[in-house]
Amino acid sequence: MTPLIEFRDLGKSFPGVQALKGVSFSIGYPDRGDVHALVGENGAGKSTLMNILDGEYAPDGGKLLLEGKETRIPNPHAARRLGIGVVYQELRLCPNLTVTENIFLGREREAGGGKVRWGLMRNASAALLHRLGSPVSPDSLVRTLTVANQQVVEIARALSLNTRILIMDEPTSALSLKESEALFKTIRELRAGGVTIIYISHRMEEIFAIADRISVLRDGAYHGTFDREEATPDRIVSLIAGRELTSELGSGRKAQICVCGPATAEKKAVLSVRNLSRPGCFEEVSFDLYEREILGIYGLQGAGRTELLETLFGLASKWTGEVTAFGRPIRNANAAEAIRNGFAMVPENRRDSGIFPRMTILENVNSANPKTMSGAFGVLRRNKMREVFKDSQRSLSIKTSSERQLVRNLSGGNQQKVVIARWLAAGPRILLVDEPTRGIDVGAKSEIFSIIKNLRDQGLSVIIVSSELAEIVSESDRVLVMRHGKLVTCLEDGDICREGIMRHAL
Amino acid sequence: MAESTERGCSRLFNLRELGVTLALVLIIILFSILSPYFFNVPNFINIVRQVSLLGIIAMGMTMVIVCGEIDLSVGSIYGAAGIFTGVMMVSGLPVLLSVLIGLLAGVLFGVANGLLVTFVRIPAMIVTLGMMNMARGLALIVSGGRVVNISPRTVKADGLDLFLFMGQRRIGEVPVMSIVFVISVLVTYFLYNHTLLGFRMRAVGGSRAAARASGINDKLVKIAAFGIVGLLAAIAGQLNISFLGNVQGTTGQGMELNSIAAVIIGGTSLSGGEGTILGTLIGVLIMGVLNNGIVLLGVSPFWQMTIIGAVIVGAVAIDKWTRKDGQA
Repeated sequence: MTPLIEFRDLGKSFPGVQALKGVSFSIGYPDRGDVHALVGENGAGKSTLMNILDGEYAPDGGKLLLEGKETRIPNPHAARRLGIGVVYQELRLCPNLTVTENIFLGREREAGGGKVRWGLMRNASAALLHRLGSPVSPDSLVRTLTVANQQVVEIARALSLNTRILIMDEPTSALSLKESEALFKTIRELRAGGVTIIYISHRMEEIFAIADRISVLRDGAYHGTFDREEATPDRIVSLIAGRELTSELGSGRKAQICVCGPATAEKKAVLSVRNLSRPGCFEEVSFDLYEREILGIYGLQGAGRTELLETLFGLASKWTGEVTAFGRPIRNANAAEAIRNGFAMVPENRRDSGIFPRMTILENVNSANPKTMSGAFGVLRRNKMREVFKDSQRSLSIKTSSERQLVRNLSGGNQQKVVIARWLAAGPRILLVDEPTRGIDVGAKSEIFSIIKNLRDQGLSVIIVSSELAEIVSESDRVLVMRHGKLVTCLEDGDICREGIMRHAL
Repeated sequence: MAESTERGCSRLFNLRELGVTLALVLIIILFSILSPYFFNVPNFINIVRQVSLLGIIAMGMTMVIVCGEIDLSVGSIYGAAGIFTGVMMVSGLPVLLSVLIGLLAGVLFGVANGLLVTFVRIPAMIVTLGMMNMARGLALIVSGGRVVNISPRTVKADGLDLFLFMGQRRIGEVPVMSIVFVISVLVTYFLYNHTLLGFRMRAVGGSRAAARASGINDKLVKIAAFGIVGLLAAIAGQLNISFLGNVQGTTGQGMELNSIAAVIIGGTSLSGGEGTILGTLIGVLIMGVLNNGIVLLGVSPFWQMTIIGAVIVGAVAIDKWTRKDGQA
């Protein structure tokens, strides 16, 4: 029997990354509905594959077959015509418009044969919502709906296009348990109605509750499809993490949960976090950061890693718990206070909150360090600023033609070095680094890590948050794993391996 | 030595203000050819005097816009501060005290703008639109809608001579008012380029998130910028009544848009983070030269507005066009 969708040797590369490497497998049946889960860690190629199916990307090589016919999908509009719909993780609705207006956005004339007939559209919307078993009124403003109901509107919009293939990207990430169950009910009804659902998720319990079949991607390559009955969560997790690498890095010891002991004489805790909670982000997080160590924090999207770092650095309000740094209880209410307490943070989103793109390198490097850069009455000391720049240029080997170069014209790796240089100039004792190598080419990645290791050897304590499993495994002295806003385990030495981390993160 | 000379040279040619400076030179050459009365020192002194008050306000406006905000209330603050001072002088208060109260009122209007923008988080466009009306209304209330005359006949207190000296007299050939303008340029230049506050204005306007993550108190910086422009508008308002000898409730209408225009012609980006005091100075001069030249040519004043409007749009268009390179 011909499958509904077939990928044949599909490849796609981006500058510096081979996102898909000859992926071949099939999804769905032409005559009945199906729920097909697609799993893999961040960067495994799931999104790239779905973007190809949605017409956002063109594959570099290989074929895409729909019902046995080779098909090219040049843009999302064409995908809609072929009956492919997407419910994105981040909902794409206009909050200021009604449910009906959103469902028919961009197609206002279709229902009325050339005329805009809101009455017809309203009836069609009501019918769709009824089919989904949703109590939402077609006249409600979208911004007044809960996230779960907004998602229903997205699904209704997709269905209004006679969608046969519905891609759902982490649909439950913003839903409560009860809302998730309602969503599963909807999904089952859609399947019964002949719709094929491609379900992308990290959550094993969900996948085993809803999916008929499960396909695994890792590092852009296909690693098998399994019927739910023949698969076990264990098996799927080890495929996601990759056994080959486990044996390389795992030093032969079995992955087991270790309890991270309290600070001892040789291991001095510089930072102690106890019962730290931030509503909606993470709860009851407790850990110690030791002197001269790199502590890796791993978690999937939405696990609360970035929020944890932001909270420690004073960029969040409304948190509870106790934080002790260097033996003193602290409460970082803002970044300035965090800096005074010896913290520094290299943020996840360099472009938005790391660099000052339109300022010079000289200014960027000095910007977190008002005491050095200015004297009496806040008058700038250009010579001091230049010294700081020259020091950091030497120690971090920032490649630039002049101190007056604008930071936005530097490469990603050099920008990241500028951000690190800024903090080193401020003399921190605890360095928080969020996604240290995002948007940085391979060569600069190892350079960034050798800088971080160097800093540790000079006495800094470093927390690294990363969604790149390989980085966490190879660069951390200890690893904390977060899952759904909770700190689930702490791994040390031989227990630090891809599989062990993945098992806890999923 | 050689290195510093080299740096000096490249600095000169890399100047952001190069384009707008060339435009100013071109306009001057054009008017020199078209009018026999244009190219001489007395006329240039005249031009600088004519733009002094606008220029003083534009210096502060540069800072507000660099912070990524806008201030529509400066024209009203300019008028209101003048009215307050004038009414108090006439009512018999000492001249110095009246002036100080006028200046304080300017600062308070500005700080109030800043507080509403940063702490209450109302967009600056709305806050300062409201303040524009409030300050204007207060000015009319205080003056009772009448013209306030300042002369030895109406003001009996000491110090009136000195007050009138600031607006009306010259030192040698140079009007005192223009000297105040030059001083305000120098002070804001220093503040903007050589102090932590100026640095932080550019940082906050360039990336608020990055500034906050660097421990910069973005709210304080913005409040300072609004306060400074309020003070400068009040100073200009004082010079205005000193110059004219009278002030009324409608004084300064349109000043806010003219000062914003000068800042934009000078190359400051409305989205914040970019801009220079020198650029604004040249923007102010371009507006002054255009006004002056058009009058000398005997062209209808209606054309003035049309031409200046075209220059604003043209300046920004050229700025966008020349800056396409180097961007990701």
